[in-house]
Amino acid sequence: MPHTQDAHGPSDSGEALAAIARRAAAGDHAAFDTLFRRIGPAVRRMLVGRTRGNEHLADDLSQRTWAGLWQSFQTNAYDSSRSAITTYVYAIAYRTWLHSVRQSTSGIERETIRLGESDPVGLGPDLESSSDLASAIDAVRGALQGRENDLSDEDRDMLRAIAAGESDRAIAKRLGLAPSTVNARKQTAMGKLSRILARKGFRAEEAERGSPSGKQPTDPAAAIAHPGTRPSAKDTP
Amino acid sequence: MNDRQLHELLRMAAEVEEIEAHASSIAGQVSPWTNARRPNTLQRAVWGGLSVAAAIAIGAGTFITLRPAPLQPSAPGGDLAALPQPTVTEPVGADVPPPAAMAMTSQPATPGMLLAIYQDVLGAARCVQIWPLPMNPGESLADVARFDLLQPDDAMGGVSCATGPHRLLVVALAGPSSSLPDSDESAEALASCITSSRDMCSEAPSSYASAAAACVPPGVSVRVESTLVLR
Repeated sequence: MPHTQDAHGPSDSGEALAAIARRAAAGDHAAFDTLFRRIGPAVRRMLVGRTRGNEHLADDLSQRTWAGLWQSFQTNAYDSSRSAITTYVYAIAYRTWLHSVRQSTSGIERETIRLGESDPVGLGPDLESSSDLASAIDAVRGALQGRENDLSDEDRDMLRAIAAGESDRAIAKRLGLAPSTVNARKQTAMGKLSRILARKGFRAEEAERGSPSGKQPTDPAAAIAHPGTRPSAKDTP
Repeated sequence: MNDRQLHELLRMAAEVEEIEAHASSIAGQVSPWTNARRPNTLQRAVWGGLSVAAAIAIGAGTFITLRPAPLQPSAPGGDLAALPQPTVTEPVGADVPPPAAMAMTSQPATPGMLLAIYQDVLGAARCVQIWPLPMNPGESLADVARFDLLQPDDAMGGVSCATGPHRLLVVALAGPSSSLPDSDESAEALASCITSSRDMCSEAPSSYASAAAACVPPGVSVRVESTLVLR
């Protein structure tokens, strides 16, 4: 199971949240309630966005996320040395949302959705463990926060623009560059990020990055793999 | 790792940053739930005497009206005690209810009941409980406040059949008393019908509402609410 190089991952908005998470993980209901009040509203907002404004569904997924977090605490599936609690909760919420998308679509619909502009991307069975997904996300966060020397300021700016969903054209206009230059810089930054993730154990299978048309491999879920043990069966949901 | 997957990870990282920023911004604020008082629910005195315990935080609901449920006249010895008729007074400004409202208050109440289904993290029902749902004359399920439908959680007073944070799914039913379960056995049979016939591909409240709609007799309205119980 891959670990990020930073033993503690990005901070949890200061020590307080991490300390609260430790108490909650030890079975402290009041701490769990505090955790929910601190993180819950923003997680729900994320789910509202992911469900394209379906507030009922977002509420339902949010409930399952928090029940799942409690279950993770009870089974010791959360390891604070691997990911920040915020990232871990997010990973559970993301997987819960992805699960609902997969349940609600037939195979053909799912294929259509997968290729859609803003729809879920299969992250691979290994990253479908909340712990591993959270660890990968924290690795990306660490890179964006300048913890990796491989990335220049320009690379990080480019990656942040991608994360924000900014189009090549918009980036080009903002920076006064040609779109082709922006595209080249993006590819450079993405390549570096891919190598950083590979170093941390999230390695790519061959022949996928930078495919010209953005075409997916037949099964994108099989495109990510990393060495190490399989995700813990205890990792819920 | 292909570009789409990297894009998705970058987007996730950005979303986590937003969540952390929000968590930081509300740190130290007084919880909106810890000090909040629930609205007055005196009319639902059936719950009186039972402690309010849980911090009900978020919920989702689905309302289905199967068929128009005609209001049934009170049967002798029926389920609900007779309510006082409104006193007719001279019109005085805005305090006088419009004729339609007065007509509503003179109608008998539709019997109602709640099936409280306690689910584990995977959506499986751990246990089912049955609760009465007192309704006001002329009131439909759509008129009942959400927190009143979720009273089974409060009423449990911490003695729930589920331990730790869990989901509570409440299926509210309203209709002729002859169409509602009248014993523990018939209520459990209905709960079993609902949980077994729901769309197994979905744990959303809407799937329970659809299943309940297929399990109850004509004329019964169904509404489903769910909540996270943090205790």
